[in-house]
Amino acid sequence: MLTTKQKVWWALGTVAVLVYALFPVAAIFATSFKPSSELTSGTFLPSSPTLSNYESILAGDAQELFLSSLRNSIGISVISTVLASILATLAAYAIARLDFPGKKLVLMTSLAVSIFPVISIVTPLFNLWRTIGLYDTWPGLIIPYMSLTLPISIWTLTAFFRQIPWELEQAAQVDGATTYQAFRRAIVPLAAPGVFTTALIAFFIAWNDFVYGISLTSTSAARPVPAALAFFTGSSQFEEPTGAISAAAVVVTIPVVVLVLLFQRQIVSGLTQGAVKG
Amino acid sequence: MAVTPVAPARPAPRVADPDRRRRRRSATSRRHLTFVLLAGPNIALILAFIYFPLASNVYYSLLDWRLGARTADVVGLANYVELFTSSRGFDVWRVTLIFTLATVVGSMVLGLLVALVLDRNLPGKTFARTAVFAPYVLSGVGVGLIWLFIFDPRIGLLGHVLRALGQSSPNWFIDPTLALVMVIVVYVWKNLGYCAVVYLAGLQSIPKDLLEAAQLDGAGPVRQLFSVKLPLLGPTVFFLSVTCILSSMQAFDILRIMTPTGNGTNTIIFEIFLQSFGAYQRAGYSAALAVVLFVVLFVVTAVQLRYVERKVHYR
Repeated sequence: MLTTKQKVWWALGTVAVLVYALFPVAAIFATSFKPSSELTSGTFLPSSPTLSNYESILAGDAQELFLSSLRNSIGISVISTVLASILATLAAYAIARLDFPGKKLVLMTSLAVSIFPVISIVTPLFNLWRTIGLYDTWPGLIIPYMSLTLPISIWTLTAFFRQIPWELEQAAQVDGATTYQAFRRAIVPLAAPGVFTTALIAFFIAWNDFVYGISLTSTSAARPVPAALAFFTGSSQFEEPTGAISAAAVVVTIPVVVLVLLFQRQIVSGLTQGAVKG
Repeated sequence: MAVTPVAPARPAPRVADPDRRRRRRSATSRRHLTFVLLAGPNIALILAFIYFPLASNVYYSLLDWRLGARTADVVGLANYVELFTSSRGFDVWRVTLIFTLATVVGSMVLGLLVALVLDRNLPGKTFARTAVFAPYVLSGVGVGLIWLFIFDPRIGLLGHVLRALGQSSPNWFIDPTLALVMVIVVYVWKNLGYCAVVYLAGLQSIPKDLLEAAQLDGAGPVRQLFSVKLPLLGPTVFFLSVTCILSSMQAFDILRIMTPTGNGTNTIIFEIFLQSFGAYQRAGYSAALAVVLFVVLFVVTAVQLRYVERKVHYR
C-alpha cells in the first residue's frame, strides 16, 4: 500500500503528465477563439472570445480553400475506409479459414508492406496517375489509401479471426439454423468488434495522410485538409491567416480526438497488438 | 460455402471410391477458387499500387530525370555515388542519424517515465492514459501547426515565457541547429504516448507477486525498477526500439509543416520529397535515396525478426 506522501507524489506526476500532453492542444484551442488583435497579446485565454476565425474558414474568405478540402477529406477517407474494410475482411476470412497452398506467401506479401517507406511509392504513382488521368481526382487518392491500409487491416483481422471459435457456427447449424442464420447470429457478433477496430485505424491513416495528399493533388478538386493546411501556410508569407489556421487545425483534429475518447480501448489494442508477446 | 474440413465421423473405407475422390477433389478446388475470389482483389491492389511502383523506383534511380519530363538519361549508379560522396548527401545522413537517435531515445526514456507514473490505480487513470496517447493518432499536420504557434518568436507562447524571464526568443526557424532541435521536441511529444502505452501493457504483465516479494525484501521503488521491472521489460524495450526506429526514419509531416523547405532538418525521407517535388525536381536522385532508405528499413526489420525469434521464446 502506498503512504499518503507517496500518493501525493504520484498524483503530482500524473498532473504533470496531463499538462504535458494536453497543454499544446488546449493552447491552440484557445488561440482559435482569439480575435486577430489579440494574437500577440501573450495571454493564454482570449479576453474577448470570438467565433470569427471559424466563420472565416466555414463561411468567409478562407472557405473556398477549406470547405472543399473538408468535403474531399471526408469523402475520400470514408470511401477508402469502407472499401478497404470490406476487402480486408474477405481476405482475412479466407486466410484464417481456408486452406490454400500459397497462404503464407499472401500474408507475408501484405505484412512486408508495413516496412516500405510510403514516400518511395509517391513519385512512381505521380507518374502513373499523370499518364492514366487519375492525378488530382478522388480515385487517385482512394486507391493509394486502400493499398496503404489493406496490409495492416488484413494482418490485424487475420489474427482476430483466428481467435474466433468457429465451431459455434456448426453448433448453431446442429441446433437447426441455416448456414446464413448460423453465420449471422453466431459469427458476426464475434467478428464485428475486430472489423470495427480495423476500420477505425484505416480511417485514421486516410484522414491523417499528408504525403499522398500534397503530391497527388493540385487543385481543390481532390486536395484533402492536411494538404490544404500546408497550402495555407505556404501561400501566406506576407499576411499570415494565423487565426484561420488555428481554427482549421482544431477542425481537423477534433474528429480524431472524439474517436479516441470514445474508443480508446479498441484503438490501443489494435495499434499495439503483439507488442508484448513480441 | 466455405466450411472448415471436419474430421470424418467414420473411418473412410479402404476401398478406393472414385466417385468420392472426385467429389473431394472438386471440393478442394472449390475452396481454392473461393480463396482466390476473396483474397485476390486485395493482392492485386497491393501488387499493382505498392510493389509495382517500388520496382519502378529502382529503375528511376538509374536515371537523370526531371519529374514529369518525357525523356531521361540513363546515368547508372551516379545518383547513388552522389548520395554517399557529396557534402549535401553527407549532411542528409548526419541529420537522419541525429533525428532518429534523439527521437527514439527521447520517446523511449520519457515514455517509460510516463508509463511508470500512470501504472498506479489512482482516480483519473484511464483519462490520463487517453490524454497521453491522443497525440500519437493526431494528424502530423495538426501537431505541426499546434507547435508552430508555440515556437513562433513573435506570437508564440514560448517566446512570451522567455521574455517574461528576461530572455529574447531565439528564431527557431532560421537557425538550422535550433530548427532540428525543434522538430525533435515536437516529434518526441507526438510519439511518446505510443511508447507509454506499450510500456504500460508490458508493466501490467509483470506478475504482482514478484513485486510484492521484492518489497518484502526491502526494495524501494528505484530498486524495484532496476532489478525487477526493467529486466522483465526486455522484450518490450526491444520491440519499441525497432518500431520507433522505423517510424522515426519515416517522419515527414511535422518536418514538412514546421520547416517547409528543409533547413537543417533534411532527414533522408524529407530529402526524398524535396528532391522530387521541391525546387529541384530531381526524380532520379530522389528514387536512389528511396531505394537506399528501403534497404536500411529492411535490414532493421530483418534484425528484429531474427532477434525476436531467438530471444522471446523464453516465456
